Amino acid sequence: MRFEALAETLLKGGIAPRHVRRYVGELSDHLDDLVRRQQEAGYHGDEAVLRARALLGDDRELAAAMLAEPTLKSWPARLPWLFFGLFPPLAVIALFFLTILPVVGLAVLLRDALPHGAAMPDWFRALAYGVTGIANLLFAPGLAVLMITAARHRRLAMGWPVLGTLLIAATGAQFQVGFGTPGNGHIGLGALLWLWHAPATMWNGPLALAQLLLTLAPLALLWRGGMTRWTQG
Amino acid sequence: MADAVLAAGIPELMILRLLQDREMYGYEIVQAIAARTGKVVAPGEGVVYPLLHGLERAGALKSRRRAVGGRSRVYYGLTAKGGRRLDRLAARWTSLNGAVEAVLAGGAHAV
Repeated sequence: MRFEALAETLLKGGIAPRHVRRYVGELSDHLDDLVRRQQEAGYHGDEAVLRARALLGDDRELAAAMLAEPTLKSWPARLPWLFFGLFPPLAVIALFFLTILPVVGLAVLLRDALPHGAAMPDWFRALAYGVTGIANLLFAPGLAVLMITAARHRRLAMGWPVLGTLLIAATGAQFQVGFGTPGNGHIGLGALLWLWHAPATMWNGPLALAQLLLTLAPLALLWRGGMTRWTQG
Repeated sequence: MADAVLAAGIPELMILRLLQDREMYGYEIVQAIAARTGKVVAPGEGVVYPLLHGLERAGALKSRRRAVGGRSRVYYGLTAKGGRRLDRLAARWTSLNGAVEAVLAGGAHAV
């Protein structure tokens, strides 16, 4: 790939990957135009390419110009403590509650529509179990993968995604979404905060353990196979 | 200090002015600057892109990809905000240029 070393320098300097990709693409097009101009001026082969490259500017000059634009840096690079420290726990909490809210709303509507004391329909049970399964087992691990991928694409220090993943795991372990068999008009769907309802969530130990292991799994994979690639880019 | 700020703004001023007339891609912009300034201003050609990206982030420019002659190019155009930025920069430049010319012209002056 053309300008590979330049791209690596820019990513390590915190420039957002989309700006790096576009810059490299534009430089590549520009170089083609310059080579054509040199050829039209009577230079051929390597000489045309060398002259064109000199006109474009050397890698150090091209990198310095980009790194001097602070607005082109990605916000995980500019504010890593926000992206990897504050955002993960808030995202976990928001995702949990935003997911169960529509199901709770639907349950309320059904409760009002059904005869008093009637069981919820089977399709609703299936939906509720599906949603709780997704909330419990996909969100926290998904966010952990997002953290690691974001950090890797931006060549950020590994400590940041490790911190983000641990925070996700810790926050995710605080929540478990459950769906109980409704009776006497109760919905039986909600999220438990471990600190406040320790006995209830501890009772569901296997789920909590599965959630924790799935969240930490991307970190383990990163440790096993990603270290070398990470440091080499 | 003000001069340094203005000097740093000269490439920006020229780019905004060129794009006021029509959309252009990077290579075109560099060639147009070299042609209009008689190559007096000829920076490393690649360094125009960070400036274009920065101006776009600031809302002064907008970009879009266009296929021309079988090649896909990123074209830049001036926004309304960019137009106002150009007016401000041009006014500062005109003011400073007038002041420098007055000094260079010499002649009677009060001490």
